[in-house]
Amino acid sequence: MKDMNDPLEIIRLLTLAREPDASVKTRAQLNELLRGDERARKITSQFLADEASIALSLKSDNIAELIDDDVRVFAEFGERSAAAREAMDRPRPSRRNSTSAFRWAVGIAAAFALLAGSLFLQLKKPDATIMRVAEVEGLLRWTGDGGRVVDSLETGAQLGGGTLESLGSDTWARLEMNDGSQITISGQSMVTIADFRQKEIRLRRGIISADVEPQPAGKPMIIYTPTARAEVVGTQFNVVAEPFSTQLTVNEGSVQVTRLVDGSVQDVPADHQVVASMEEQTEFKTHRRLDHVVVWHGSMPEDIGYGKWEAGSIGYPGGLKAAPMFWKTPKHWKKPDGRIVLHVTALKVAAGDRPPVQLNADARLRIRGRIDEAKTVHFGLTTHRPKGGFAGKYIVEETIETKADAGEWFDVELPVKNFKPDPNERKFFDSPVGLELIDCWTVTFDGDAGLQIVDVTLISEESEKRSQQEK
Amino acid sequence: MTEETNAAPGDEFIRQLTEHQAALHGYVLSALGDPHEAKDALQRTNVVLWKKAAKWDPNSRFLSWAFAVARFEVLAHIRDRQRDRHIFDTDVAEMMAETGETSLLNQTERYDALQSCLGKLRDTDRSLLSAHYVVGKTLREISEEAGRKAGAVRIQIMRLRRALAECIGHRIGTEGNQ
Repeated sequence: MKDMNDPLEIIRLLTLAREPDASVKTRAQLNELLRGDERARKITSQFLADEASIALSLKSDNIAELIDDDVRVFAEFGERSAAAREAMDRPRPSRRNSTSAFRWAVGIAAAFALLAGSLFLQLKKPDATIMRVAEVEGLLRWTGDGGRVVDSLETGAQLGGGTLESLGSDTWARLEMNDGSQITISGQSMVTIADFRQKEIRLRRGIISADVEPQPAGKPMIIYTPTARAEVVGTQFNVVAEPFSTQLTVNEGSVQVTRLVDGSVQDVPADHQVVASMEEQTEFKTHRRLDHVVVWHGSMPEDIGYGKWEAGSIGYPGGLKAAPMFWKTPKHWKKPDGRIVLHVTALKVAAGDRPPVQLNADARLRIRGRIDEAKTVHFGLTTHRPKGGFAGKYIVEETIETKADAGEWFDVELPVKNFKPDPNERKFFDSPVGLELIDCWTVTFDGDAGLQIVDVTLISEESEKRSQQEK
Repeated sequence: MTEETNAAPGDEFIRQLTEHQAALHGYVLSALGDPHEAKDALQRTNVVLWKKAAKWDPNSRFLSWAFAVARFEVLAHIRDRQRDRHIFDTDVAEMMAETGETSLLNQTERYDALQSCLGKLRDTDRSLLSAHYVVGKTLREISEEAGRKAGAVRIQIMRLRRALAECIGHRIGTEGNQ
């Protein structure tokens, strides 16, 4: 039995646990020890911090030669400071004759090298990194780097200019640009991002939520959609782009929007929105963001985001049939990596000049449809913060039974408070209650169950009471 | 929306950032355990510190402020990496970040003392430490190259580390009395 009061035993366990081939048991022992023993944490903390110092000190033997180019790139690209010039111009004695002045110069150079490495070195190359994938859930396709296609973007991936396409209704990704601006893409969206002296975002379809850092004078971020062009200096806003109209809602700052069909311009301040349609006769005017509503009724086929619309006939309503979608098994499934086929329907909620739909605590999503075989259906909601950006996706599973009569519809009511964030994904909030509904969707696995949705309604007791009182 | 500034950091900020680079590196390594992860987190931290330079009050202690920023970046890194296997579990990494924020405030002094202590080691011992901590070779790789048992290499590195720790403690104590 090891004595874990002995610092040497703590360090021995730490050393073993840090080896690449360390066993799960060894790492579990280390974590258990650290979790319950503050002294062990302090000993470990100091040991690791000293290790960093040893590495830096030994590395600095040859650091002056290694970092020279990096310092110059940084200093020439960024703001020149006296300290940077001093570091570059100062003669470098050998390590054996190290003086505090030299250590100072090396230190400055090291700091610049670290900054240069992460910010500026890649700008020397034409295919420079302009952003990184800060968070990603689901399947995204990236086309960049001269047309190279990557179907499995991972968190931390560094990207140059290119096109990002989200391939699933439950997919979303947050991109962090080099200046800290954040772009979140969700749902069935396709966006092309470039940053060559000026940021350009081309949202071909779908939804983005952007939190843009102040841009350089005269070089605003430009957002293009099929129907509008927006200039952004620094703000938080959401864009929903459809083939024939674009809804832009500003939460902070202001955005100048040009309607492409006639070139007319509108300034959109905070808490306002504008809809730029392809049809000239449609009003293009900034207005205060509409008050939220708590009920919503999907209108098909207009609101279809994904799926196959099957027109109805007498006595048989039209419906949205789940359509196949390729997907890649996520890591947390712990299954061999490979593609599977899901069957998906999606309905857009936020679009055009509609008021935002807020999810009340007593709200229920009522779905009617039919299904050919009993199947567990994943019902999902995509949300935004009220007057804010992306706020996560929430799901609930429900087994839908077939009806004895093939013509009979299933009818389920799903309390909104029962929707939960995917436990394997980042949790924004515990529940979607209080958030704005952007779209809703269904997913089934393991073959086509013949799922067809004919009606989707968001209802709440509050609305029902009001309706009864009016009657 | 953040309130960062595009203004160039002043010379005093650069001096502080430089002087405490080893302490910052130590802080992120102590929270993450893995040198590769620590390198990424340190880069992110440096970038954020650079952007937030104008927010630092020169009358306040730089390292306390920098650790607070680094802690945020470490937590962001932990959040981003959730699905992979790591040395420290997420909750432990968060606890380590909290511990380091207070216990490593004298790390810059330790770094200065360490420079002298390393100079007292034999070249072969410095080479061994360099192979492990700078080049990043595992104990197994070092032992295979040297034709020794991994356990023997680990024990030798542990002895060197203990000797360095004692030397650092002595120097800090000695200098403190001067």
